[in-house]
Amino acid sequence: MLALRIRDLWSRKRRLAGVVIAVALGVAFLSGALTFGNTLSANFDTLFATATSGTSAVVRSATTVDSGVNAARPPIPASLLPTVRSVPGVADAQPSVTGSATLLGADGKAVGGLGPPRSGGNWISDPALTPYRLAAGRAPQGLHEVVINEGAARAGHLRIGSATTVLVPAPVRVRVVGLATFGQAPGFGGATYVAFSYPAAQRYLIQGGVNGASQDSARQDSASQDSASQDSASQDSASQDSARQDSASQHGGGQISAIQVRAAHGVSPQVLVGRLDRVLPRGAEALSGAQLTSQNLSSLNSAFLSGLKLILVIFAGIALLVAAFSIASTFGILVAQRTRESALLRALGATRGQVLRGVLAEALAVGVAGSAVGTAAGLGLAELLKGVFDQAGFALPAGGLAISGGSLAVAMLTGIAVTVAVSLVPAVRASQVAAMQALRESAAEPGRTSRRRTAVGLVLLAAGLAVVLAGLAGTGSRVPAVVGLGALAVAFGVVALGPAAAGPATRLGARPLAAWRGVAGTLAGRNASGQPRRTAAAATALMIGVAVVTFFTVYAASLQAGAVNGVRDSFTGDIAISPGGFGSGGGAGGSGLPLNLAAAVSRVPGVATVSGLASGQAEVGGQPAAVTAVPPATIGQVLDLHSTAGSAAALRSDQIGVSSIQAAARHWHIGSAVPLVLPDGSRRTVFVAEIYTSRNLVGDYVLPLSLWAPHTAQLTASAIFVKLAPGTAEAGAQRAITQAVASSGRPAVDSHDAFVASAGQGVSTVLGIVYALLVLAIVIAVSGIANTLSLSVYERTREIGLLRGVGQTRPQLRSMVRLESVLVSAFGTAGGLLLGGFLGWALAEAGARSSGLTTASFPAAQLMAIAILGGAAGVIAAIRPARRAARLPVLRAIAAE
Amino acid sequence: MLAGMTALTVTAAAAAVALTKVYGTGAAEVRALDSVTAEFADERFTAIMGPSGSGKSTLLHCLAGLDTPTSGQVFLGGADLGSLSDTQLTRLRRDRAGFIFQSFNLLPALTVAENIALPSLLAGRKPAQSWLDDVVSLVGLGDRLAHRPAELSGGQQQRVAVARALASQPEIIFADEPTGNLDSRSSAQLLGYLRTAVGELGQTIVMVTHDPGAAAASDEVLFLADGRIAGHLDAPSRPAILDRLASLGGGTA
Repeated sequence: MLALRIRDLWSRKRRLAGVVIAVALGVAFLSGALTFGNTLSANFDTLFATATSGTSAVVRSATTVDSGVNAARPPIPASLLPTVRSVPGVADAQPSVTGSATLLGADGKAVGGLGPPRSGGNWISDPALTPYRLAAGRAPQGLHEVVINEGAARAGHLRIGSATTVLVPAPVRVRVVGLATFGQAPGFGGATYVAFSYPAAQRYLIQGGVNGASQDSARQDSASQDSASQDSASQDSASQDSARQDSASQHGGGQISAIQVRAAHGVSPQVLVGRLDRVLPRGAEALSGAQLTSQNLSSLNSAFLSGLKLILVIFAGIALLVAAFSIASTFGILVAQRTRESALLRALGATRGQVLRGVLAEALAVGVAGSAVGTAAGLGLAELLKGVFDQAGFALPAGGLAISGGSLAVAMLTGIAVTVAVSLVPAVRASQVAAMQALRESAAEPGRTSRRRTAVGLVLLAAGLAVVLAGLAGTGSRVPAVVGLGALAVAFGVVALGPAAAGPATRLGARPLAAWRGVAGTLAGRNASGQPRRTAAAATALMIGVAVVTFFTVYAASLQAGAVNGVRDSFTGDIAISPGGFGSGGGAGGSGLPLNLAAAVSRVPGVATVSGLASGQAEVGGQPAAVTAVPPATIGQVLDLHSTAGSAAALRSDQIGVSSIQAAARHWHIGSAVPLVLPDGSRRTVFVAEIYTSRNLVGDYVLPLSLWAPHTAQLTASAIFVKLAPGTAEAGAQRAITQAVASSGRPAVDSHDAFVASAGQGVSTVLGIVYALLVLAIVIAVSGIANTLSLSVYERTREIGLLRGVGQTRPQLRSMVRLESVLVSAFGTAGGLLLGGFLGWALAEAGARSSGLTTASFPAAQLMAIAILGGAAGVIAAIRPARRAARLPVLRAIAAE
Repeated sequence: MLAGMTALTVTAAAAAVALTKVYGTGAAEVRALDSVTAEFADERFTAIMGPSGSGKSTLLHCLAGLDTPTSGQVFLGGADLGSLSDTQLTRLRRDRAGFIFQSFNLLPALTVAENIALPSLLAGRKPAQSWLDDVVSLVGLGDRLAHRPAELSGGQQQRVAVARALASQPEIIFADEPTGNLDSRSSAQLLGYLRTAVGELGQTIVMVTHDPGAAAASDEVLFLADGRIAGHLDAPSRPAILDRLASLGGGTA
């Protein structure tokens, strides 16, 4: 019996091939996404394990205000070193200083990609306590020598002996004296690493000083500024510098980030950590190297990897969903075409169960074959995904694929389960065939649309629309969830209504085709509208694919419009200086601009006001958060935060400004006391003195620089805004400012309008990746239409023979198949555009009401491109079926049963 | 001889010259047609009869340009089919031939009216409405024009096929067992239409049939056996046809 079934399957292999391909494509993405995720995890595991491999224990501050990887912690006094060294079992203990340091390449631009950190530190010579190995040259000495990792040297075209600049964030002129490897690798993934001598690292990364000369000039600048353009930032930081240097001298060795400890032979890390804990003062903690690795890995996971993996699995899910519809459609036709065969089996005494099991066994075989192919193809796709991310600028750690049996099994089983599940409906339908059917001329699957399905669709659509509109009537953080739920109901409703809409829609679409291509167009239209269920089933896969693409397009455009509008609303200056490129401002890996660049800018003729925004991490009200520090004296002239209460210009050093969204979420109002932990670990209580709505440039929290600067080692500006004196020629001033700041990594100097327009750029990068991830879903949808057409051509062999017999030429026949395909895909594309456009609009509106970050916007050019591509998909899908139809020998086709 | 045949074709709507069709090779070789020479005169209703496997359907298919002969020539309205490309053959079928098949072969997606006008539509021509009306009233389908084939009886469907064949005013109509799927009343009706088409409209019809009753409606019967011409009968009657068939030894089906 099994052999018979296999032979039966094999005899229909051509018709089954389409289903197998659909399953394979859907599974390939899942397998690829899982393998890619495993590969990332494995590579980061190796990286982090290498980073701490020789370190038995680490002593560091117990406080953190950051949740990222290698989160910045307040420094600890270097005076702890002798204490640690005196603990029994400590073989060696070295101070470690870390911070962010942006290396400029030979072209004067920052080296490094969008994601990985640009870090700096002190060169540690004990190979057990650092993963970095000197590959060439020597260790740095003095204040102006660095060792850089090989990867960074290559990317920045730097060699031993090269002179360049490191932004800490103030520019430091340095000479490269050595190249280092990270273990065996050229670097810590795509991260850049700059190692100074210990004193230099302490000075640049912890004390925030650069060198005597520039520090002096900064002081002179601020002293010589006229009162209108006073830059409180550089004043604050300069005065704080001297204060901190005083305290550093009191502590003897100043401050350090952490102490790396190597245990003596025979002393376990756990024992060592225990001993260290007993001698450490409050505020410092010891942990083993293994603990540090797992902490770093888990924060990497929560900060980046889990999200990325989830996104990939979501896109794999989209591809599988599209594949499922495609499989269901093809399988439905296959089973319907065998109605007579099933009826004959029933007439000869087969039970319903036997017919049902027969179809399911076929689905199982197809699922197994397709999933096996797809799982294997997924490995290739994982490589491709790496390429996509590399192309987009997210340098990921190198290394081969990490292939896990578990993941492959998950992909395989999912594919089989989906195939069998979607074949249940056609299988049940096949088993319900009456034996009498065997004796009649066979009719394909029921052509009429089910009334129940239409009713359910209408109810879902109406209910979904009502929920969306009701959700949009409100405001607050719950709006997106409510609207999302409604939108989901709308999506299900639209899918359910497909067959009911397919008839009228394709009839309408066929009218111009008939006028244009004559009887070929008429026939294509009748074929498509005559079997609305089949048309809808084939089009649904494409509709979902197009809907997802449209949704992302509309939502991204809305994000862009929201960002651009938000920035246009709040930026009132004339010129903006920004690090350029998305993701480079603030954050753990970000470098940003030296805040005291403001001083240099203020010297440019025609500049009236300079206001720099510092960005960083702090703990606000018990939660780590990104904060922006502003100089109250000047901020009002370049930014309008649309305050509903208070004003940023009036912030005192014990006050904070809060976005209206956070104020509402945390039930804060003017005068509320908010606990604050600053980057150096000091704790303050501040009072809400401003509530504002315009978050685009400052985020949720605004502090005065006078509160921020004294507690921050590396004062980093996310942007510096300039207001020109009345009557100043903007272009000339822009050129002069560009010149003045060029030595700091050539930041972007933009006019008001250019800066506003650049606000949405980051969204485009992400959208590009999203499009790449959706390509497969569209390919699956197109192959689904091709399958349906092929089967229709097969089914209509006699009709085709007749048409050819009475004089249809081959080109006319091809054109007929093509037009039918275009009708089906146009139906799917139109549905997808409507559905996706609606979903995008609803969620963008919901976003506008909750976070204020989106403004619903429909990018006409992109939507037009999607529509054209959808039509083109139909033409592509028709290529093979049309060719096969044209090749049918006329006589055989007429005679065919 | 060839020159003579070419001259002949001037008066014949279709002609076959030394037509041979071989299926398969070697031991499996089947000679469906073995050097058949025949002509089908204008404005005549010719029936082709013969036992199963005699090659009658193959002859019709070759004459209609649906099948390509292994050797020999086919002339249709003065054109040598062997010299035509697929597209030219298709155009010839579309413009100069009409077809009636055993199993109706209508397009289920098109209405009766559209099915009738199909060859003209394929040619991108608007058929003359008055002629269409004549044809429709001839076969008595005036009240069915907006229906789909599935809504008609077998007899009605075959009448649509007749109307379709007549609509394009072809030089010749090929009918392949047109009464094979019809009851006797519908058969008689259909043959009546065909006769009218020849007698009143001057149509030329070549019909393959195994039904002596149907063949009796023709002007002339051509008998085939084992792929060769086995005689012909002018102004045939049913008994004469049955006689001749019996002598061919094949029975009627």
